[in-house]
Amino acid sequence: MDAMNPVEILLVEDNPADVELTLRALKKRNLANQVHVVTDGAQALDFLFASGAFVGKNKQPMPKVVFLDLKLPKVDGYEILRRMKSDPRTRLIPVVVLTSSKEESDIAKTYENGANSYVVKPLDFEKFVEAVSELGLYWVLLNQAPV
Amino acid sequence: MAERETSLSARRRLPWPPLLIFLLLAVTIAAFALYYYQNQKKTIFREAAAQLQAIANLKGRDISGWLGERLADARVIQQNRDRVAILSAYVRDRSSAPRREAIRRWMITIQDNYHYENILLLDQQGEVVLAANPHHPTVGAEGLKAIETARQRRDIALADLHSSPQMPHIHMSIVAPLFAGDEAVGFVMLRIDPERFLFPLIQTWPTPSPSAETLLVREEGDAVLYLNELRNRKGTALKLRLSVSKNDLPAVQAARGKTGIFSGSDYRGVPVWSAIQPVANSPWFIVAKVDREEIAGPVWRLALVIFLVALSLLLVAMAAILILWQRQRASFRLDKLEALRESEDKFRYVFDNSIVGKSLTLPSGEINVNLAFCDMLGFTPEELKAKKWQELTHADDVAGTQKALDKIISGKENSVRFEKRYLHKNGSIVWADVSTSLRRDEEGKPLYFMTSVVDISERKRAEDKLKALSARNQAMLEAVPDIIMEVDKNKVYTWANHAGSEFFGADVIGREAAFYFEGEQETYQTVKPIFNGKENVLYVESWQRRRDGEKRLLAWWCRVLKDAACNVTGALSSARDITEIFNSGQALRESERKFRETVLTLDEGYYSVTLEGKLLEHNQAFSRILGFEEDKDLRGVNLPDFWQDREQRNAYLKAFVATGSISNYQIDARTQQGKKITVLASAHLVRDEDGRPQCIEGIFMDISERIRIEEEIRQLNENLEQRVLQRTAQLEAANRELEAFSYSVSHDLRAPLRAIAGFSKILLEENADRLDCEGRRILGVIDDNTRKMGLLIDNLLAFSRLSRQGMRTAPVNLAVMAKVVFAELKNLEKKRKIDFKIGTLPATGGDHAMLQQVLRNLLANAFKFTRPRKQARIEFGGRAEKAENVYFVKDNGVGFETQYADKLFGVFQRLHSASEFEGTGVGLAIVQRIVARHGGRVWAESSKKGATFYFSLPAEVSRKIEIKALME
Repeated sequence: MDAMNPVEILLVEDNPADVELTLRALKKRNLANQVHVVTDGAQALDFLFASGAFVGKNKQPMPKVVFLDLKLPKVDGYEILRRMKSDPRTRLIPVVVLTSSKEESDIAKTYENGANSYVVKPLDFEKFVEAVSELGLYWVLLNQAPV
Repeated sequence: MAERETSLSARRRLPWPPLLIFLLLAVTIAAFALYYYQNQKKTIFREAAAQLQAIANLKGRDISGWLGERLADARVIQQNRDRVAILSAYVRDRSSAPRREAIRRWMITIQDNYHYENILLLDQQGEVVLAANPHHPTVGAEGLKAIETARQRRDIALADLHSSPQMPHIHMSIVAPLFAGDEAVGFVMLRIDPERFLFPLIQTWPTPSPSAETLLVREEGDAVLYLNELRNRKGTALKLRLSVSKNDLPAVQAARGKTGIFSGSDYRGVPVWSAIQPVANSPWFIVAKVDREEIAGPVWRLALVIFLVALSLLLVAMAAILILWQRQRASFRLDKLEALRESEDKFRYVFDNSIVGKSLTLPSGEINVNLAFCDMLGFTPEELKAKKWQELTHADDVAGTQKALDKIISGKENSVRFEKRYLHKNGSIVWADVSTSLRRDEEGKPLYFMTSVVDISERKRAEDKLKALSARNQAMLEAVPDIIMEVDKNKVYTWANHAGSEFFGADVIGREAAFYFEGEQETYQTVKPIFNGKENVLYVESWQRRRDGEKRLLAWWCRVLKDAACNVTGALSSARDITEIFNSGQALRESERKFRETVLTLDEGYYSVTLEGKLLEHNQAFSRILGFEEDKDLRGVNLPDFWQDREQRNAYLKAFVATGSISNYQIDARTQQGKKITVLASAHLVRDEDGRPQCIEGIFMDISERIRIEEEIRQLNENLEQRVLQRTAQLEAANRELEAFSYSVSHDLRAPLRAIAGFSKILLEENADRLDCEGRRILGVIDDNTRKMGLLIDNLLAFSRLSRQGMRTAPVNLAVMAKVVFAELKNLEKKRKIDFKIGTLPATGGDHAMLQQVLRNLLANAFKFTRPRKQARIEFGGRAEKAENVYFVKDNGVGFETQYADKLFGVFQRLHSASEFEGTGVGLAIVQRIVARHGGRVWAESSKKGATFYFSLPAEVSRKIEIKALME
């Protein structure tokens, strides 16, 4: 990662195929350089709260948006959501939940935990690219976080 | 009255009782007074003596103490060696003036401190060397005598009270010798003036008394010398001497050694009481005395008081007795008078108020009558006095009355009693029981007739009534249809009523009862208790011969007849012909026998017991159930105890006693062999016509087998429930697994699918130029299939979600819903010509979204399978049936092969190939599941003309929902 380019998007996703597809989608909108990818929930928390492998990186500005998969190893998406929304440092960072579940109960639970958007990963790649890049742009460019 | 006066005055002459009482009282009072006087006198004298003795003791002790102190003063001087040495030295050499002065000062000190008259220092010869008081320096004869004694005894000596011409006042001295070795060098003399202490001490008396005094004496030769001045005589100190021969004198008695109380005469010759006491350490005696007069004074006064009190008491007593006596006598006299008056009154009262009429007739003809007599005849006393007895008597009884009176007057009888008729003032007849007697004087002259008259009209009337009644009874007995016969004690008929004569014949009187008996009869045996008097009434049935020779059964009620002495004289019996009743009774018995037989062959145990629990009747089932031999006759034995549980038995009995019957009571019983059985028992109390309990009748059946089977069923049921619960739990577990599965499918299956789709797309996009035609087609196939799989997964998830979703029931308008869905579908295939018809639809309710899904799937199916038709026709209709509403979607499509109809509604079941008709095979499965959740069912029919899909919804649910909607 380029230190000169501060992280604007944190992508939390364990499936490498999905990571690649997401990055490709973001690349199309020239957002890929500002993406940091972590592959499990614990890493995501470490990154956000500057602990574990990320000790000392607290000077780095917080990401402007977090793309969060719900089904994650170690710590699941709900837990990350809950932790982020209960900490003043991360409370205001928008979180976009990316998931393959269409279950109503999952959607409701996600919003209850404070997610800003909920996106069901479409099977159609083009639709996927569209959804991801639009969300990314929207949150990164238009909706400047008060950092 | 005059006679009575004299007898009373005669009695007054000798009023013995009050006199006797008075004498007794007088003696008692006198005795008491005397006793009291003596007692008081003794007490007074005792107290006076004790006082005297106490004073004598006190003074003696004081004097002796005082004298002892003086002697001790002397001994202190004598035993002080230094003092003796100083004094001796001065006696020898008197030249030293300072020494003299010192000695003198010492002597003055002693004199002043101890109240001595003088202190003298004497030389060997008794000459005065030095004196504290220089005015009386002489020693005197008594002094010298004491010096001599002191020298000889080498000890202190006393010069007793004395006086001398040189020293005329009375004094006494104590001499202490001053010895130097064996020689007395000098003496110290302490001179005492008795006037200072001793005499005042003697002369004082502790209580005020006009005659008491104390005196001090000593014996001198054959006289006693009085040492002090006396109260009643002056100049006695050392002067008065009285001879010891005067035994009366207390002082003499003292000198003779007597101590204590002495009663004598003093120096004046006056009788005195005295206490005598020697004074220790001295030759003196002290005498305390008081005049007898002084002591006796109060005694006399006391005697006077007692006498006066006794006298007044006596007077009072005498007066009281006299008054009481007078009163007694007066009341006695009154009593006598009262008694006489009362006796007269009583006679008068009895005469006047007797309820029996009384008349007193004097020979003069004067008549006295009482009120009862007047009332009886209705006259006033005055009217009656004016009547002669003949006028008052019924004409028919005048002669009889005269005859009766003659009997008395002639003296044949003292009194007569007879019944006669008087004439009442109002003319009616009064029957009376009359007793008349004649009182004569001593000479036999008639004094007066005394007559008692009792009104017996009532009795006469009652007798008449009785006679009439008797006649009526006779008539009644004759009239009753029952036979009534009287027999004597030998059972011979003595009387018969009309019915009796009719039955037996007129010649029945005089014949014995047995004459009419038919066949062997126990009648005589039965009625025996009547004739031996043990029973009063008996019932007996007996066959008897009627007058016409026919045999009839008579029911007899026999009642004993007794004379006044309670001896049996015979019997009165009534009889009724009960032959007909008997015959009908036989028929009843026959029916009863049949009933009995039925009961005996019952499967239920039957029994009847006496109230005491003895079996009267039972059937074979009874024996069988309770474990007896079936043929055994248990009658007469007690009802066997078949209870397992005492408490149950008590509860049963309580319930039974409360109502007199019990039904279907389940009892844990046991047979004779101890086998436990359960029986269902019913019993009731049998009462006779009068409602008295007769026996208990009951039936019971053995329901052990039934109970066992019921128990089995119950256990089976319980197991079933258990199994259902288990199954439910298993089902729930399966459901949860399914949920987890579907969740997993939605996430995990979709991800690789997305990768396949995504990357094949990327391949197509980025490497299209490198791929040939075949390669692109293959990627197209891949893409196509990933889509299909996505659809499959989505459908599958939707299907599984159905069973988990909650249902929200509400009224649903299926027609509107169908139109909406149709429009949606038509929009997808705009070019098609479809004729859509909606028929009548019974109102219904259910989950809106779910039912919409049903319509969508069914209509989508219809769309799909009518695709080959140029003109598609789809119809949605319905009808109400008994318990459900049936709806259908009918099309003119390709239909399906009916043999596979049962597979239509299974998941992933398809009857057409994907190339013919697209689809995942989930749609109808979803329809089936939704309808099932609403409580309905689905089925389908097919023909060449097309297919019809039916679904039903329960009518009840619809109605309920309707009502709910209305209420809201």
